[in-house]
Amino acid sequence: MSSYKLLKNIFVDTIDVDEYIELESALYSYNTLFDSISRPLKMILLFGRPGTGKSVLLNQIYQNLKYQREIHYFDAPSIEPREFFRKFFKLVTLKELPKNTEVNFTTLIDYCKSIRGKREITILLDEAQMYDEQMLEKIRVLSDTGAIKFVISIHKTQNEDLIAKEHFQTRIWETIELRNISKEELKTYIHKKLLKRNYFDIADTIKEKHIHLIYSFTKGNFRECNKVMFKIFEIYEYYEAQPNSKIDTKKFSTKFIEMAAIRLGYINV
Amino acid sequence: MYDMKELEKKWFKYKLKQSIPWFILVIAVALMILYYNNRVKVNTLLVDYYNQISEKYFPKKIETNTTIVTLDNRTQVVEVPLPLPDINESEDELNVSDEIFDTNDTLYETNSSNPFFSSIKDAPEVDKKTPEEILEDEIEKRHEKKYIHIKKSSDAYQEVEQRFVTSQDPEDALFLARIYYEKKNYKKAEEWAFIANELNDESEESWLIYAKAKAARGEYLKAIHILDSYLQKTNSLGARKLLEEYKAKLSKK
Ligand SMILES: Nc1ncnc2c1ncn2[C@@H]1O[C@H](COP(=O)(O)OP(=O)(O)O)[C@@H](O)[C@H]1O
Ligand SMILES: [Mg+2]
Repeated sequence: MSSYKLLKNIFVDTIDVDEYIELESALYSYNTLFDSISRPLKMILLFGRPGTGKSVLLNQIYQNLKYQREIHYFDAPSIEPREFFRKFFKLVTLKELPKNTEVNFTTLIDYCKSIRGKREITILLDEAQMYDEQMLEKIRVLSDTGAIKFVISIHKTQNEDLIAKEHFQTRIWETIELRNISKEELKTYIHKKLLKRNYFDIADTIKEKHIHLIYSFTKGNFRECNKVMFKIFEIYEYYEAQPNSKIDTKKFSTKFIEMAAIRLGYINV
Repeated sequence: MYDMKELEKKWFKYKLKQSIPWFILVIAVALMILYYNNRVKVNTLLVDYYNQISEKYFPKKIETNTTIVTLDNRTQVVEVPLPLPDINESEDELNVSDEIFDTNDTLYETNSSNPFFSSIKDAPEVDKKTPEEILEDEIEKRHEKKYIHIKKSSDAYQEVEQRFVTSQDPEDALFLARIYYEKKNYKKAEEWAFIANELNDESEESWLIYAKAKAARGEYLKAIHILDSYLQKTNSLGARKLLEEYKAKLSKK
């Protein structure tokens, strides 16, 4: 298999803990969230633009704490509230909900109240912007029982963050915002990603000017950066497969970065 | 995979677009340099030419005071010549030097087409100087030797001399040659005749005064030579008469 095929796959989006890179900003967010969870808070809002590492952070927390405490990660929200509550019922009561039955919300609340002080359950809700008002209201009621702690991760788009905040304003005790990373960190991110798979030579060819160019397109967004890197290696892969390919392995191609940017729509020609 | 050829084309287009401002900049700079260089070249050519001409015919302008005078609501710029350096203020009578200059006998060579100029060139005391230099020399000499004591304010020719610096009028030069000749200052007469002739060599009087001044200083050979060359151009009766006279005087000597 072409080395470029392997290289491009390094930059496929994943929240796998094995792919986690310890960046200063990521570490800071991790510690903040960890502290918040350790305190008796009912709700924690985690927000930031898509691709700023919210899911990665939630997963990292989940994987590290899952053997120490009752913590659960809800990734993509079930479209059906029924599904959500079935899952929720199971992890709270530790019992499977009998088939053809529905969760009675009032009894669920009562149950939660009954376990307050005895158990402490943390629920990590990813992509919470997809829950509707009714669901969010129910979540709020559940957290009010004092037995369930929610970490609500919400995509912040230009105006949405305000709406999200407003909704939880009265209940939220802590807000953690994730931002795009700096150019320096982007360099670390790309280099560490490559070094993790022992691509020392490639990492070495990616210089400041290439980082500068990539940063100019991605603005330090993890997901955008992954997309660009994937595309670059995909282009490499294509040229490598050509009959008389003239790929310069000593130098990282600025041309390919630009081609990737054109392809991904960062540059309009 | 998607169309890579298409992507490549787009990339070239992008690069082209990116380089256009630079391209324009480079061309603009190149044009500016070209334009500037040419202008400088043309300018230096013009300046050189001007200098050649003006050096030959006109002295550098003497600095002037510029005064703005308002006359019937219109503004006019009046140039007032700066006064010449002070010459001896004494009120003594004009004193003409009778000093006889060395005569150089090797001057009678006529291979030059214009003996008038060749004789001037060869003349030991009147080098081919610009009128300005001549004037300067003269002022210097007046200081050193005090041959000439000029009543500064009243003499018309002094004013004319000053005026000439700016006017460059051949008539003024001729006037001065005439007046110095009358005052028996033959050296100055000769100089002014030369200047007048430089400005207008059609003027017979400038030739004649020049020859007469030379003769008056005993340089008959030169005087004859000058008259000879003038007679090659014209058929002047006055010049012929003088020529005969000087030839006679020379043979008597
Ligand atoms: N600390 C990190 N280490 C390694 N990869 C990361 C890290 N943070 C983000 N990423 C990468 O960025 C991608 C997008 O992050 P993600 O958490 O899915 O963003 P969000 O949930 O905010 O939209 C992930 O798939 C992952 O590849
Ligand atoms: Mg996510």
